[in-house]
Amino acid sequence: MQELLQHIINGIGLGSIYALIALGYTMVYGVLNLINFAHSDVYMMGAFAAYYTQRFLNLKPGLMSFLIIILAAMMFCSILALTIERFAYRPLRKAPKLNILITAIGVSLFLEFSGQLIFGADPKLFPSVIEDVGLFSIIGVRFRTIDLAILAVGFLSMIVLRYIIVYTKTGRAMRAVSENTKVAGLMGIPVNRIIAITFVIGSSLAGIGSVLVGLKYPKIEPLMGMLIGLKAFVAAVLGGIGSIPGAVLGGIIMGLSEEMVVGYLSSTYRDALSFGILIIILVVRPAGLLGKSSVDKV
Amino acid sequence: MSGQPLLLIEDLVVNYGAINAVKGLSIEVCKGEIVSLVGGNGAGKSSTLRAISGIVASKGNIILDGRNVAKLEPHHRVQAGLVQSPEGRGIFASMTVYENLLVGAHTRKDSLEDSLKWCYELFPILVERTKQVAGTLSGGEQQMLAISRALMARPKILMLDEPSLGLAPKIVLQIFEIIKRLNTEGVTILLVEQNARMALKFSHRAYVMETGVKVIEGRGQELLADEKVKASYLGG
Repeated sequence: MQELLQHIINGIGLGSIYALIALGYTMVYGVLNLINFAHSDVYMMGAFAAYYTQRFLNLKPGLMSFLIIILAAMMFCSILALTIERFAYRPLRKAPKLNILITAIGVSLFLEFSGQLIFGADPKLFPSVIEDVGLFSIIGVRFRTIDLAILAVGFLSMIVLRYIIVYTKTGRAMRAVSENTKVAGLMGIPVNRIIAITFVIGSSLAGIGSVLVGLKYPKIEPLMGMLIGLKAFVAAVLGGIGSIPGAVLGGIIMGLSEEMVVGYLSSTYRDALSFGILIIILVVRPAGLLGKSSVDKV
Repeated sequence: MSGQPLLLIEDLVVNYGAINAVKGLSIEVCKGEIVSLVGGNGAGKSSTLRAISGIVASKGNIILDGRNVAKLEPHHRVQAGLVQSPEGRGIFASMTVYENLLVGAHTRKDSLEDSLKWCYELFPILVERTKQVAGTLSGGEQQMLAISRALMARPKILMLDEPSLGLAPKIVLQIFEIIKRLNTEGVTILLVEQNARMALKFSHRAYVMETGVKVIEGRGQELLADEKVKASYLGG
């Protein structure tokens, strides 16, 4: 029982990281109908931005340092994503969908190998700006600082995101663009600006995720985005791509099931699981758990 | 109608690749008018509206209130007062009725109270539907919402693309009566319709288009009686 609870806590933590990254995929898909393959590499760049910020500012462990490197990662990811959007994707807005998809793969490879060129292919040790100590236990379940930080930051980010999407004018405009770009333009919504904002929000969340992952698994390298990106993408598809609550749900389910597989079966199957899930969704419910199988009233 | 037209279109050309949808169209709309563009499928009516809104590329001048807006981005044209309610209504089905109305007012920063009140007055049915998801509305209600949503932008010219499309005859009449009422309350309207008889009946003036050019223009009632228009567009 105790063990199960521990796995659940760990799984939700891992899941909220998947969710943070999955949100970027799903939001960009919503407004552009594009699987942004470069997203996982923007995430990787976020981890390096945090790494170098800690080194250059020589930050000592502590809450302040944690917040500073999160902000650094968010800002760097946003600027990078805006640049990619502006110079790689926007010129292709009216081109066939396949062109922009291939461009996204190209940008992804470009970032991965630029990363290897600039940072080197060797893994680097992510600074432990939060000391990993046990804080307290409740009925035998240990809560450690890093796990609590992941849960707190992960859920806070999602609450802020929900607020933006549901209650702000920008969020409403994002939903409008996502539902019908042409009509959104006719209603006076500056579509390009809204798309840019979507990239900023999605990549900021990836930046937050990269720091959380760096703290939990402190080994970063230029190809670190590939596997986690793929899993987050599966999470987005599982939840229903384009659906924001779906991405969160998908992420949590992925995190939990991965933790259960590792805990009760064998860690060998940890990565096979996500692809197993992907195959099952594509067969059973291609629209995802919360996705709309598009029925439009005419 | 005297003085300078509120909207003046000069030599409008719209091309989709090798296809010329609109070939040098010039029309004008004066303040307080209902002007309609009628004609068959592929005559270039909707393309004209899309070009005026700026969502398809075009050549020629689009002069609103003395200012050429032809180079402006679509959202700046909305801000300038050119607002279109698109063909097929295009309501945001997953948002509530109220949210749809708010999206219509995206370019505005002032208070929306008066506009909301006006929309609810024009379409009382929307009041009880405010919190309802717009996708669950009936076709007629969706059209009312689409018109209200466009009104929320406070248009100088309201452009309606096929407002009667896919609606029951009774509802069509209701929609046209609303259009007329809007007009008497001061809204200038540019209307595109396949339902030529209805459009001509309710319009001050009309242009008949055929393969990208205007072929006949005149007062609505005159065109209704015109032999050629009767034969080609009103089914004899």
